[in-house]
Parts: sequence; C-alpha cells; structure tokens
Amino acid sequence: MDRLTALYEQFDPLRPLGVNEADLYVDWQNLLDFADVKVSLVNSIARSRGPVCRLFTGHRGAGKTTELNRVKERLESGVAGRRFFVSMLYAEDWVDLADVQPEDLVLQIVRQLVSDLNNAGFAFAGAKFRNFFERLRHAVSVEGIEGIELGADPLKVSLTLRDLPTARHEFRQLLQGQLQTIYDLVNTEILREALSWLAKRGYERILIIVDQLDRIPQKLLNGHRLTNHENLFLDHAGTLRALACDVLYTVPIELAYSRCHGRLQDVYGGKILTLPAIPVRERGGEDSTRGLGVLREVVARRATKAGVTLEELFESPELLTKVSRCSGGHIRGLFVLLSSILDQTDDLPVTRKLLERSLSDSAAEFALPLRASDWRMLDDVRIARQPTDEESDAWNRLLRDRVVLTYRDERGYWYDCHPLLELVQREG
Amino acid sequence: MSAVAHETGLEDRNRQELEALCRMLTRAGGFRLGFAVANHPSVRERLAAEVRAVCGIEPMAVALDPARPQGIVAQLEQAVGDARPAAMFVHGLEAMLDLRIRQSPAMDLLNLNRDYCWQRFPWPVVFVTPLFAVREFARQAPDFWSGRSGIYHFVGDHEDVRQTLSSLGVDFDWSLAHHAKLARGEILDHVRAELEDRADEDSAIRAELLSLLARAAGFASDLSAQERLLTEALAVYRDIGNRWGQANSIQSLGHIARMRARYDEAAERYEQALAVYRDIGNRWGQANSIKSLGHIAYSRARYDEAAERYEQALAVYREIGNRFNEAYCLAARARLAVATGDQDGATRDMAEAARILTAINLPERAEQLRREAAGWETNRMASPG
Repeated sequence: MDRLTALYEQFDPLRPLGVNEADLYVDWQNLLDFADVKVSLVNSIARSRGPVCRLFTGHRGAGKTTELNRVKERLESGVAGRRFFVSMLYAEDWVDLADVQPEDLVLQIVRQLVSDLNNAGFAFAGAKFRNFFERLRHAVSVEGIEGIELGADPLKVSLTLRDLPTARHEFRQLLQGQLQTIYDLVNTEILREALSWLAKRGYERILIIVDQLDRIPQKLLNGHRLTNHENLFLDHAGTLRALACDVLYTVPIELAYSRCHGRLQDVYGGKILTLPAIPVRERGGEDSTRGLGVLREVVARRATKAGVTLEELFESPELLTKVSRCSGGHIRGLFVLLSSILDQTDDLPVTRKLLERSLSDSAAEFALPLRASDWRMLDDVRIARQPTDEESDAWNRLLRDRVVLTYRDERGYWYDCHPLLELVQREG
Repeated sequence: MSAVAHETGLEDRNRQELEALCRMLTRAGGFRLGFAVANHPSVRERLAAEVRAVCGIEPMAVALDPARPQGIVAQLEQAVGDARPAAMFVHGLEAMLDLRIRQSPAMDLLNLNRDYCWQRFPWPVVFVTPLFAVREFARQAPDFWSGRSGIYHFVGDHEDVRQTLSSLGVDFDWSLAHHAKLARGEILDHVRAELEDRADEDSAIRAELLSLLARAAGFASDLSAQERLLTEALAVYRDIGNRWGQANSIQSLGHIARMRARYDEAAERYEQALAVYRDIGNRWGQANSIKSLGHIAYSRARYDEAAERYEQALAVYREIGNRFNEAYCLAARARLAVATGDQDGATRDMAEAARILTAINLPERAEQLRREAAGWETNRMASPG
C-alpha cells in the first residue's frame, strides 16, 4: 500500500475508532482541561447510590461512540472500587429509527442485556427471556397477527419488526400489554439473580448504554407541534426509565438544545451531558491555539500510522492549521476535508494552492443544502454566539446538520456557524 | 494518468475531476460515499467508460427505479447480489426524489442506513447524478452525507448541452407532472451556471436555454422572469438569424402581455409572430398566432372577429392534423358561443373537443371540458326565463 492510500484509509470519515486503537485516540478534553464528559458520565453513574438514567448528546460524527466506548471500558474496569457490567445496544442495528416506539426499544434493550449476560455465562437470563419469548410467540399466534415471524433465537430478534411495517401496529399493541411483564421479568427476576451472579465476579452494578438514538430523524406527529423526539424521550420517559439498573441514552442534539432542555433534565434527574466540538476559536473570535493543537495531534497520529510525518504531509505547518480551523473542530468533518484534498493529488506534500482550491470547493459543497433564509439566522448566530430561535425548525436543522456547532468554555456552552461557510461567496 | 485522461471523450476541463475520482476509487479500501455530479445524461452515461480507461476500474452500474417498491439500499442489495464489484456507480437518484416535498421517503430510509451500507458494500458507492439531487441528498440524508468522501463535477461539451436541452424540451408543457417540471427547471438552472463558466459561448445553445428557462419560469408563475428571459432569447435568436426561434419568443411574449391584460401589445406581438411564421412557412405557428388573436378579440368582446379567427385557426389545425390544438380551438369557440348565447353551438363544440381529446388518449382533459360544459348547462337551467 502506498503512503497516500494508507493516509486515505486513516482519514476515512466513516470508520469508527475501535477501543483497541488507543494509539489514534486523542483524549482532547483532558488535554484542554475541559470538564471531561467521559469523567462526568462515569462519575455521575458510579457515584450515585442507586440506578440512574443519564442523557448524552453531541453533534453527529463528533466522537460520541468513541467516548461511550471509553466510558464502558472505565466502568467495566472499576471506578472507586466499583465495577459495572456494561451492556451496549447500537440501536440502529436493531430498531427502525425512522419509526421507533418505546416498546420496540425496551424489547431490544432487554434482549441486548440478556444476550450480553448470556454470553458472559449467566444462562439463567437467556432461559428466562426464552420463556417470555415463547409466551409472546404464542400471543402473536393467538392474536393472529399476520406477517410477524419471530425468529428461532429470541436473542437475535430484530429484523422481524424492521421489515414488516404492516404488522407493526398490532405487534406493538401486543407488546405494550406485555411491558409490565417485561419489567417484572427483568427487575424482579433477571436483574436480582444477575447482580448476585455478577457480584461473585467482582461486578457491583449493571449499566445499559443505548447508543445511536441521536440519529432518530425528527418528525412532527399528527400535524401537531409535538415531535417524535418529545414523544419518545418526554412522554414515554417513564417507560425508558422503568428498568431497575443504570441506563445511559444518547439523545438527538436538536432535542437536547430545544425548548425541552429543562424538562428533560427534570424528568431524567440530571444534566444532559454534551460532547461539544473541539474549539477552533474562542468565543471572542480569536484562534483557539489549544483546540487547533488537539486537531493537529489527531492528524499527526493518523498520519504517523500511515508512515507519513506532518512535515511530509503539508508544505508548511499553517496549512494544517487552516484545514483544522475550517473543520470547525468536528473530527469527521476534518477527515472529509482531508480526503477531498488527497483526492486532488498524487504527490506529497499538500501545497497551499491545492489546499485552498480544495477548501473552496468543499465550502461550496457544504453550503449546498442551505436555504436563503438560513444565512440570516447564521449571521445572527455569528454575532450573538447563542441560539437565535430554539423553537424553530430551521434552528433544529442547522444544529442537526452541523451548520451551527456547539462549543464550550468556562462560561458554558456557546454556538458558532461552521467556519467553512466563511469561504463561501454568497449571492446578493 | 493525465496523458490518458487527456485523450478521453470528456472535456479537458473534466480531467482533474476524473483523476480525483479515480484516486478515490483506487485508494478506497472499503465503503466510500462519492458523488459524480453531471447535469447531462450523455456525460453520466459515458463516465464509467472514462473511469475504466483512466484507472482500469470497472464499476458495476446500478439504475434506481422509482417504480419499484424497494428503497435505495434494497435496490443496491438486489443489484449486487453475491458479487463483489470494485465500485458501484448508482444512476437515477434524481428520479427517487420528489421535489414537491421536503423529505422524500426514500431518502429518510437511506439516511438511517449509513452504517449498514458501510458494512454491506465494502467498496466505493458513487451516485452519478445532477447537482440538485446531491443538494437534496445533503438536505434529506444529512447523517449519511456527513461521511462523504468526495464530490466530483463533470461538465458537458456543446454537443452534450445540445442533447440535454433537446431532451428537456420534449413535452415540457403544462401536461408534464409538477415534480418533473421542478426537476427539469433545476437542471436548466445548473446548465445555465455551467455555461456561464465557459469562455466559448454558443449563441444557439444560449437562445435555446433561455427559451426553456422562460418556460420553467412560466410554470413557476413568475411572469416577470419569463418575460425577461424571453426578451433575452429573442435578442439572441435575432442575432443568429433563427426565425423560428424569434417567432416562438414573440408569440410567448404576446401570451404574457395578454395575461397582464396589455391587449394592444399582445395583439401586436401575435401579428409580428404570425408574419414570421408565414415567412418561414410554419403552419402550426400561424394557427397558434391566429387563435391567440381570436382570444384577444374575445377579451375585447369583438365576437365576430373572434369567431373568424377561431375558424381560420381551426382550418389550419385540421389541415395539418394537429388534433390536440384542434380540440382546444373548438373549446375556445364553444366559450365564444356561450358568450353570444348560442348554447347549442357551445355544447356541440365542447362535446366534439372532448371526443377528440379522448381519441388521442387524454381522457382527464376531456373530462375537464365536459365538466366545464355541464357547468354552463346548470347555469342555464338556473337562470330565469
């Protein structure tokens, strides 16, 4: 593999960072003396007396899953002498996020927990869940729900719900009626036995992490002002909080920073923890040398893995600073920019001319989905550094699409438009 | 690579983009999301061959079909089966979109399948599509879009532009479905932007483009833009001596004047257009101008003149066998008959018009005319005496 291909692989915007890739992981919050969101998550769970439910958010592609993997690792290893058995559900693999309902989610959370316990050697959980599932299968057959085929292995039931939208409604109604049974099964039978079994293996508590729920696309329900996000996370908070173990949900950033922010904190009993973007400038507008240094470190580690030094990669150091600044501190965005630059060349180092042309093209592409009215809102954000209209669909969309980025400093969270947009020649 | 690319059929200015696309394809070790933006179908069609010539990669071509119940990912899965292509070139994304709505269902599902695609298709997937479809992808599938590797822009040469404009002009009238009108309008805007970047302007292409853009503006009910574009087109047609184009532009400017109740100006335009159509022997154009002059006479309550014009136009339509316009000329004569109190004549003409439309397979339009005639009948029954 030549060096450019190796670099290209390292800058794949869609490749998630594995837990075993510690050499590529830059603990930037620690480097920036931030209130590290991992530490906050770990402490808020580990130090609580009883089971808690926590919410975690951040821009898509900002590294939430990477952080959650490390939260999992730390809690499994033990914090203050307290070890957790951690079960992780990647929701997208199991639930239809375009049409997610609380009962689907609960079923999949329980299935994941039972599956992980079963794999760890606690066969009791698997047996109990199989019994429950046989009853569910029987009920489906009695109710005569057409089109539902519950697979042979209840620990692997997922696609049955995904692919059969016509039978969904009936199946969900059935499942709704079974929710109390599921909770009883988990809370009074499985968890009690599991905790006792796990205690002999050094674990004190159980945490379930439900990742990727931030990807649920926002929709208005029945033409009212209620969104599917509010319906799931607020109206059905009781359902999501009913399991008697620690649970950590990722939530969409457009919900977390909407008018519902306060209610969510009240209902879930804690702060919504946010993974902000890495600051590329300070609130006052000047460069954040420390944030840019972190991004330089991210690139350096990946380049080194590809056998390329930063001196070989860029004609001069300020070129890396420029591309880092243009990324807005969003890691996936940074890799998109670097991939586009590498597309344009067969040789290293990247020259100033090449970089500027590529960034200009990338800026035009970034602005492609924007509507004329968005620019007015963006101008306001650039001046105010705060939300302009949290109630509006446009604000939610700009936040969701990373056109507006969330940062944090000692004064709290602040907002800015994506710096790449400054390279766009605007109409009119 | 550059020497080979220089000899390819794509314009020389596409060389850099082609090389960039090939670099992505050859360097990708797994799934990569790319977009090859080409507004011209002819450019999209030959892109795979160009890629093969430059970097030896043979992409699997997949054509998305909006008529099939499966979504985008399912159609890709079916197309690929057990094969392991070096890359996939996906055509037809633009047809999966409905520009009338902000979120097409197909895009909703696609957005949620990013990680699945990353695992299921461990090779580059390149959507070969016009620019507006890329914009909609960015808007409607933002999570998937955020992981794109590259966008590669390909422009057409004069022949590509001619072919594109020619195909966009076919049936680009009121009978075209609304979403198709919107899509064509988008492509026309892209082509205009593409031509603005070119040094070697072709006036005939420019005039044709302006005419089509004017039509798109008309569909969007933007009469001011339509008038401005037609005026520009007329000037170019005059410069290059295209009499047919001149006549069409003048005729259309007449329509705008009539819609704005500037009847003197409209009549003058129609007379000018008629003279040019006569000069070049275009019978269809002549009939249209005469019928339009009939409409002006009708609007001014000069019913005898209107009847005479409609009769003349009708004769020409029948002579050249244009049944569609014959039907609508009969409908115009029927409305005139209502205005002059000849209810029987109106009913007869409208029934004949509806019969013709049915015969040429336009039953919905026929039904529309029948409903209009039924309304006259109801009014007559309700009126005293």
